Amino acid sequence: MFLRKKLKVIIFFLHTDLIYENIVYFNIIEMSKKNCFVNGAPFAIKNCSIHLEDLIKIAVGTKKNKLALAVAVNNQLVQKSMWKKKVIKEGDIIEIVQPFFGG
Amino acid sequence: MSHEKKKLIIDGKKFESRLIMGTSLYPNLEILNKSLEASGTEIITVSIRRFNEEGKKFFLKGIKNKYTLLPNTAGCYTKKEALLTAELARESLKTDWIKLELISENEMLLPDPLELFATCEELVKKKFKIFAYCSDDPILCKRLEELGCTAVMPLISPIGSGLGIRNEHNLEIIRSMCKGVIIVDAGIGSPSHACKVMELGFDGVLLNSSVARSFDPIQMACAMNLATKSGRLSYQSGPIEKTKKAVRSTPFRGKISNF
Repeated sequence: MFLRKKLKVIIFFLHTDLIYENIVYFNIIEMSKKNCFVNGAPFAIKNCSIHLEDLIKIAVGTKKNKLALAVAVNNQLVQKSMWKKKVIKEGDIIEIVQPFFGG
Repeated sequence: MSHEKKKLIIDGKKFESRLIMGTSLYPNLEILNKSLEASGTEIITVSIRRFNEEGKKFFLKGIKNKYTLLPNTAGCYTKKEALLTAELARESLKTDWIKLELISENEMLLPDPLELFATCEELVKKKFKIFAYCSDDPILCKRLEELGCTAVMPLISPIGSGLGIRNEHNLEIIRSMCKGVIIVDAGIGSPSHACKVMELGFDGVLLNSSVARSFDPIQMACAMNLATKSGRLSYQSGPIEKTKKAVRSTPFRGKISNF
């Protein structure tokens, strides 16, 4: 009797884990359909795509030239000369970096 | 001793100072700037991090632009991460210099020699000038030098530990085996450690925590500056050989008779 109760509890928790995992997975899929990700945060893309140059203007501001920025899209460096041409699509992962304190 | 003999040459550039300073952990920008000034350094290390709102107050604007920047790959665990960070650093700072750090675990922050070597192979092909932060293994240091690293940088103890030299014999072997630029990185706690490293014949010292976390960083930076210079002068002056018995310094001849 005791074992049966214990088993039910375990099955319940297994179910909740599965439900939770599916919700998280579903959310990631849904988010990636509508957004790209800039420095780990969702970034809404209107009209399905945006040029990298424009995205950086929105994310960083107009003073970007003075900030020694560098950008990677989907783990690939995009050189500054290519920012105007590079098209960002839904689900793309963008990293915008700059120098910081370091040892 | 000629003036030229005193200079450190890295990648064809001459430097008066043999002390490379990190820029992290300082209480504020003013103390950082004053500490860098007091240290006499000409090369400073920086990391590459995500832009955020704070980034608009760009930290390099607050630092005097007389320093040569050495970007690092701090926090990277894999070859893939380090390669991308190095590429981003080159794009951001327009320098081929990269201090390659590849750590293997979180507790001791020890460098991963296998991942480091594999990454160095790739970066050499991409024409990077690598400053390879590595363990104090003489063979690894030798192999990194042969691979074409601009500088090999063995630790003397774990990052930020301040423990100083843990294996002096290894350091002696490294210095005798490697003829290129060898800079000790990580583990310096006090100026005496920096001095000792320089006395062993190393080309320079890279440090951060021992100054930034000290009670008075500006004064400590000054002490490190003097210690590095002192150690180098001592090395170049050729210290006396150690003996197990006393060697008289005052001549015995002419002493009054024993009675």
